[in-house]
Amino acid sequence: MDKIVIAAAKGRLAEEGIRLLDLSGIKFPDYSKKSRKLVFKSEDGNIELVMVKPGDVPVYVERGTCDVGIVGKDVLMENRANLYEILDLGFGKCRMITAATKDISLNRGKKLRVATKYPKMAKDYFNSKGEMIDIIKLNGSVELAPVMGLSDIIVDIVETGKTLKENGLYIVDTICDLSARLVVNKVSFKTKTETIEKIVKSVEAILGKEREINIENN
Amino acid sequence: MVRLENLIPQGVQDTHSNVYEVKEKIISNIKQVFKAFGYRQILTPTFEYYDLFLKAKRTIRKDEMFKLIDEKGEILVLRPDITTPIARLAASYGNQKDNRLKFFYSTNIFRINRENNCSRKEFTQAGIEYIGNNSEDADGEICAAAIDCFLSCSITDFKIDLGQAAFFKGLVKEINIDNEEIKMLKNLIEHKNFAEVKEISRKLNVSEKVKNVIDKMPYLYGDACKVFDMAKDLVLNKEMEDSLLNLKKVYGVIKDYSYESHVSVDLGLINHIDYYTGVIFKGYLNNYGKEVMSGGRYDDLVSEYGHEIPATGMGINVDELIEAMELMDLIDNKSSSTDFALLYNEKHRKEAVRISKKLRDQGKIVETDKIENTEKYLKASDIIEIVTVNDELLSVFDKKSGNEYKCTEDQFLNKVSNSKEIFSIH
Repeated sequence: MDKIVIAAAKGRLAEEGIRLLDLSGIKFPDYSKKSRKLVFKSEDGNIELVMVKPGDVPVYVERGTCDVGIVGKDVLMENRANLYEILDLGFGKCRMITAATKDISLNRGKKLRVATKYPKMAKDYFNSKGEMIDIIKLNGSVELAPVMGLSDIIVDIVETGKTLKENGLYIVDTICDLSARLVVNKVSFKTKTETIEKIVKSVEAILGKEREINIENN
Repeated sequence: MVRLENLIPQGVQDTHSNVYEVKEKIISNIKQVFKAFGYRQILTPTFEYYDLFLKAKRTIRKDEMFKLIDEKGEILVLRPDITTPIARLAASYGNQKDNRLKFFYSTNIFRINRENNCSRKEFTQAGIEYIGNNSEDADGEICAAAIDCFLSCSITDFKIDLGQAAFFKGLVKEINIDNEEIKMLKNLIEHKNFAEVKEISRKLNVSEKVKNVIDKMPYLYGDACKVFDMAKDLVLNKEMEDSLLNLKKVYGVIKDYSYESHVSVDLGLINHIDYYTGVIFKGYLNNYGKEVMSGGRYDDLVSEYGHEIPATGMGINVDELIEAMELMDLIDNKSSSTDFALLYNEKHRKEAVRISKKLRDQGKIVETDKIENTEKYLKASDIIEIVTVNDELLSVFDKKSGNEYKCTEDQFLNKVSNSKEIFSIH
């Protein structure tokens, strides 16, 4: 069997991903949420899981250092990595939105100041609207920018919108829905087809089952 | 302050002598394969007009080219690709409908690559272009030559993926959507985004039959026969039918070379289909995450320069290949060494130089220096034997064994010429 290295985005996505893999028969006995280890081996030793920063997952997978990755769609869209985006894992659901403190009229002839952690996405979105913008790249707590008068609007991801509300922002528009994805290096997919297909299929089966259960519960 | 004079820019590098030797060896293996198939080496200029690369529907984006301005204010670019200049060159031969032009090259390509922090901005590519033959035999030959190149470098664990640009182009004809949407669909298929392809097809205003084909597009990969079998039920028009037939024919040629075990098919290989008109090739090595070979048929390119001539070809990224081979432990890292260092005192220089010449004529690598510098040669690991030329007999010291013996010039030369041992890797 081919050796497979999986890169998982540290944090909630990795936890959920490991749970899914566990259910599909790929178990990492060393793993626990509290563990500080960054590399875990599967029971049979054929699969290795490494924890990396979310933004680094596409880098590891695109360059082939890792064969498979578990990462949010937001990271993929921002990085535009050249890899296969095989599965929507269904968890880590959230939305990419624009938000502001007050009414924003677009196309008002003045450049809009946009604060965001996702400059590429922000640029693409406002370009498609024909809006001229200046981007202010921030590294966190983007909600603060319009409150403090640093920007007119923000582009960010939200799950419930609670943080926005509490800071007096409201959602102007939804750019797209996001969730965790299973990505695969293009060459690995071709050279280790069987092994990777096996992993994908068993994860897919579990996802299908969970979806059914969800529908029943609803 | 950063002192730039001691640094080199990101994306380029020095090639040290041991690496250079490895590279030369690999390039020479590859060139040997190309020559054996009747390809002739050519070279195009390092820089050309920007317009040349803008005109052709190319695989290279504007922002990937290094631009220069000449004395007339014209924009030039460092060779971002070699197929386009070769197409220009081929067109300069006039209409070659009844002729065939078979070219090979091994040269450096320059590309600005902003996305990846450590990819090369200058890399060596070696490849072939077969101009004036539109048959599957030419495509099959290109693929076989690529396989021979890998084999000539002792690589056996590799895979060539075959695609067909016209299959997707045929499909697009059945869908009435604008260019932006085609781009999006193409992108999703190219990324094997099974779920989102389905989502898009559901929204399209096309028949269920067409939807089914769109949904299946990303699944059309793997074993050639399996894919052909799946694809035959998905054909919607003549163009798709012809493209599939053509791909089967190319596969048939590769089978005649007995290379089918190295080949798989992926009809979702569509990232550069504005440029490719027929079969597409991609070459991968096992456990190396980047493609090392790519190519395909580009029948429309030469016509941009005035003559409608079909063409097909492929290029191997030599630097990626070497990097992969290093990982696979296929690189023999022995660098060449000097057979003899002849050290003399000034009085005997003429004699030392004369002996050196005789040794070099025998194909040996010989260095000469003043005897005061003996220490240098004793320390250097790339010197095999040290010969001291002074008033007495020659003194020959074999560094590896530590043996030393004295002899006359004739005895020494005789011994060298009779020795069957290969002294060094030249």
